[in-house]
Amino acid sequence: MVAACKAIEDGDFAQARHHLNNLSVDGTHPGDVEQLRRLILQKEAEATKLSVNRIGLAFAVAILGYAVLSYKSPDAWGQIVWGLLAFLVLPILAGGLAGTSVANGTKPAKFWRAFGITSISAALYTLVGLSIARARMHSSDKSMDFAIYLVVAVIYGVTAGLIGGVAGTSLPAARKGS
Amino acid sequence: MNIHHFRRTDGAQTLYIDGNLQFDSSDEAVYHESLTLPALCLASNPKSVLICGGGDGLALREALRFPGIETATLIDYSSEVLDLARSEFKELNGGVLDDPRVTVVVADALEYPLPKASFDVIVCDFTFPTTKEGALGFTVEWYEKLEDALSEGGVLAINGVSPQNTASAFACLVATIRSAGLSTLPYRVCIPSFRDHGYGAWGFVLASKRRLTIRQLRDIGCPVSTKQADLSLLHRAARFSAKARLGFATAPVNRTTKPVLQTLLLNPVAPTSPGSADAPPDFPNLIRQVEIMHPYHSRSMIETLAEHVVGSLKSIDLPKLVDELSTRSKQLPKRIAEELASLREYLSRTILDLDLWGKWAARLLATLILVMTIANSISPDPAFAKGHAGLGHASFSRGLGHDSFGGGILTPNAPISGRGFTGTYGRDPVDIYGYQYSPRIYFYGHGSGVYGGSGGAGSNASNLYQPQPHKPLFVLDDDLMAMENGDFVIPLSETVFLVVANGQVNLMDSQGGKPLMTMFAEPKLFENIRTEVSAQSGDLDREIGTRRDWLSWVGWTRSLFGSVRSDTDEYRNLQDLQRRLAGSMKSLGYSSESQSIPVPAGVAELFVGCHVLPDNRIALYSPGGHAAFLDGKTISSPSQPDRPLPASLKTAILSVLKKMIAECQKDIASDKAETLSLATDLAATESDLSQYQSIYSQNGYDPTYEVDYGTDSIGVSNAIQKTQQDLDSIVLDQRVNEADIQKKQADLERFQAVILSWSQ
Repeated sequence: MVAACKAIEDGDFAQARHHLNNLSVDGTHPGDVEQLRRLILQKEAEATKLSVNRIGLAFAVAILGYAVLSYKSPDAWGQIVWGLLAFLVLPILAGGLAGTSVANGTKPAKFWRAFGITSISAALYTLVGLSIARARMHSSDKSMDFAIYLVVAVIYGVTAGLIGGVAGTSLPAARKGS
Repeated sequence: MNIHHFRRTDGAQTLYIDGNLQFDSSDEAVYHESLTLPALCLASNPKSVLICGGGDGLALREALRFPGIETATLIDYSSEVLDLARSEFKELNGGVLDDPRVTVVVADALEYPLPKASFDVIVCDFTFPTTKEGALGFTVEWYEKLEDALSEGGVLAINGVSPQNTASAFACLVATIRSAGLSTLPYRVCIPSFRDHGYGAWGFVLASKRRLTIRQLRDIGCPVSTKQADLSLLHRAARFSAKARLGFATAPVNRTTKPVLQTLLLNPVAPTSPGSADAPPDFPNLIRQVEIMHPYHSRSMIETLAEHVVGSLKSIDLPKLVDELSTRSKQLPKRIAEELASLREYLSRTILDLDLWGKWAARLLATLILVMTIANSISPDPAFAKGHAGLGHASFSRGLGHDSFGGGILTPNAPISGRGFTGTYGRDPVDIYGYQYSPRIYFYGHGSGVYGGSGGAGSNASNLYQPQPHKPLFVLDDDLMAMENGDFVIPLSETVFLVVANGQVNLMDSQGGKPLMTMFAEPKLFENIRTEVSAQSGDLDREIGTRRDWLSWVGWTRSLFGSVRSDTDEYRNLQDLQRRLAGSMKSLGYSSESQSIPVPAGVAELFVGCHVLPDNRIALYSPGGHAAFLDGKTISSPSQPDRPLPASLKTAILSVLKKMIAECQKDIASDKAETLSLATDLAATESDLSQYQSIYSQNGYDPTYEVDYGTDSIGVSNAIQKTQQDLDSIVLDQRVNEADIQKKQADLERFQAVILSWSQ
């Protein structure tokens, strides 16, 4: 019973269920087993909700951050400031938050969650920024433009995603109240 | 290919190919003049012509009539049509196929190799596409090939389809040509024989690597007379409704890999929506979704066939059929039932996954919308690329200092679309739109008499004077150029120009580069040059800014993408021009004159500081406003008695006068054509107004009764109001036009009188 409670506290719900199964066959009072089962369900639901909230928060931070960044062109920000903001500050913030959404996850799981959110946001920001910059030039070579958009958005997205992924694996998972 | 040639009893000839009328000799000139001559007029100095199709030789006839044509190539794969052209049609085409300038090639033009940049005008006179193969001559791949074969200032003329009967196909054609990277100018012409055959108004498209505008069509000035077409009114035929223009921008592109033109031609009316999924099947509506895929099919044929199918289906007792199938299914082997169950399981899983993807797609879309909304709220203009403005080509009118001076800076909303800043910048002059101009060398020096000495009228201070060649770098206006060395030049005629720099204006003779005279430095001239340069510098700033923004994103990919390399070159050249213009502004200086020289009534201004007086003398003003009077033989001033007029100065003034006479005549002819056109418009608009008023009264003065107004349907009361406004506008245009003609006529007579007086 103590091991099951500790597993719940650690957010390791699979381990908690394992202990629950053992308790149900080794003669523990059915009332206690049922109480433990309900506790697991409740904590699991809370953890899932927290995880979803963290994902939303990570996305919101990334999107709002890049929206603010899109207020000016990279050149207007200054290439160094822009590079720091777009590829370091925002990916670390968004990736870090995304990583905390994976309760009791392995490092690869955290990495890929943070990578996904950060890279999609950065790629979207790049696509929007590029298309606006190009539209102002009234370019006529749309097919070549698309190839440029694709290459640049993928490279910027992957770069930001890698930074975000690393940040996501470096922060501890979220706990209720943490 | 089925070719039918007929000769009617009245002697007129007609040619049909695959059942479609190619021409009727009674009005073929309308077609061939409208197709060929505009392209020849708009091309810069056309010498070589390519005609694809048009084996009848009629388009070739028009091309060879044009002055300056040295070679013409006709490619047609139908030897039968070419034989007819050499025999039956010889009286129509004048035997042009045997002209020594003509090369006739019997081949499929689509497969014939065309040398790069070798033709100044290309005419595509293909037959109306009745098959998918026939539509290959209307694909983007073909137009890209023609673009390669077209010279830099060349123009492509394309026989299109009817914008009246097949608007979507015509829009597709225009979109396809645009997709090949060409600027387009579509127009339509009413050809009586085509109309009688039910083809509707016929559409043509002009295309070029440089920008084509309706204004160019209005000022077309064709050097050869036309037999049936009225080219002076062609610009009106190039005006399309907003809906049609939207169609040009949004129509699908006809590609070899995805041909759509044929389908659009056969299905001119887009199929209506089949209705919602929940609604019961509406068979007639569904049948209308079936596209006609062959020219020999018709809508009624398809509907009749479908009715038979529907009738057959209705004869099936569906409930009985389903019952029978259910009974049979119970007899199916167990394994099949298991496999079906497995398939069902798999489908459930897949659909679940798809559902998940759908949710993610919705989230991504929502994010994108959020980003765009926020970006637009923060910075509205860049987000949707609005608020663009540029400069027009208002003429400086020889630097005149009064009414016509600095004629009006337009803001036509045109970005850089030429390639002048990417390739030949510094070699050929270029304007703010990036269009290149023919290079011209101006010989003059910077010694005494230009910037240094006062150089009174007729003085020829050539001490230390070393004329050198100078190239124009930037064309600010038709009559104003910024030179590589920072000076400004205003060409007055082929041999005479003004150099404006260091607060001085010098009249120069390009033959030998001698300074003729230092002119009165009209303050308004300097002010207007500054205004023009400032305005265009503002445009340059904006264009530089857009390229800087773009390159800040993608500059590092220049080794990967050629277009980014071009953008980088363009950016550097624009910066260079901006620097040079700033330098030119500094070296321009300011006029030391405190006020302008007035132009009294009865006096015409030839160029800045040069007036034509009522007694046919010319007044030339030097610095300080001192006048010297020229009467063709002598030059005199209050301080200096009569001296012989230097021959070089006389020749210079006469050359400017001759150029001005030619320009006035051209302007007057154009204005007169405009007068006729306005009169036609006025009559048509008055007729419209009368009809609207009649409809209004016949319908009990119901203002909401809908009538056609252009391509829209609006309330009759609104239509009357709008038509009245149109009438007022036309009347105003007529007054302005009339005043313009009178002024130009007076100037013309004055200039002619001077030449006459000086030659006696």
